[in-house]
Amino acid sequence: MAAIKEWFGLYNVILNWIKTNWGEGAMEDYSRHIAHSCFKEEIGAIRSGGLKEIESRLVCPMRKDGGMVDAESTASQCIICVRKCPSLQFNSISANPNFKNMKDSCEFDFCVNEVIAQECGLVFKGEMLDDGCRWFFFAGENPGGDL
Amino acid sequence: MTVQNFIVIYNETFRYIDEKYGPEKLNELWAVISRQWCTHLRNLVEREGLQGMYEYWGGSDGTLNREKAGYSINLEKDEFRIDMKQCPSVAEIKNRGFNVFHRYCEHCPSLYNPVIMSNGFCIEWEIGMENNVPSGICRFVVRKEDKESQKS
Repeated sequence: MAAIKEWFGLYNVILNWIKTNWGEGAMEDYSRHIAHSCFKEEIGAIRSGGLKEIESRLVCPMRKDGGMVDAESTASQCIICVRKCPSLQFNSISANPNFKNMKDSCEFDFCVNEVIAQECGLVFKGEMLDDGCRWFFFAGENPGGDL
Repeated sequence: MTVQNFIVIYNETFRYIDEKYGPEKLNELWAVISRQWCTHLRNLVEREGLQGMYEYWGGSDGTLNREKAGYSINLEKDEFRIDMKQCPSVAEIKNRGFNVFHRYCEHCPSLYNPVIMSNGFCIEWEIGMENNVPSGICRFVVRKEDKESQKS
């Protein structure tokens, strides 16, 4: 199915509504709930297949949406660089004034990734870039300390 | 966040809001989505009435073709109708092994009715359920509001 990119705007409407009504803590609770309830299959696959499964489970869907994403995996870490984020790209050119890029939409992804990592015995760290972001999944302790 | 996972997240979001904050809050969310997200449909209906609805759902770039729905669509002078035989959204939730939230299908009338009714049309919905689970079959019919008969 061709990516229906208007749905990126819909994610933002929902996140913004939750944050406006109940604050950042509620948005984090919601993100964690979505991670636990909607990403069970991904968690199972990464648990059994290890870090190399992250590319097929988390990166490929972004590429299907038109994202430009690099991924590099070793036995102990997987580093993903989102060079062109499909959500940020769509919302920045949408004619709908309600589809605004919001920092919270990236925090939703970071929170989901953090839950997936925790459930798989990994450590996740996220870093914002100008047009995208970087995701770091480490097996066990982060050997590099602060990013 | 990805479009690829959107439908299952949408379904789970409705369940989460309904259970954590209550059914009225879910209605409120749908009202917000209707106002903030349905701008394309609103523009088409304001400009072209029933023809605009046909274009939104059934045109070459219409949402039902893009989602590969199983449906029939019919536009006549004073009536627009969709018979959904296989809702792609409900099918995706089921095919991916998730439980369809029992109120999932309410989001369609909740989003579209305010847009359509505010432009002088009335709508009738029939939403199919099987054992309190949405079946993915529905029908809606839009007609021009008959103001004369309302007066009498």
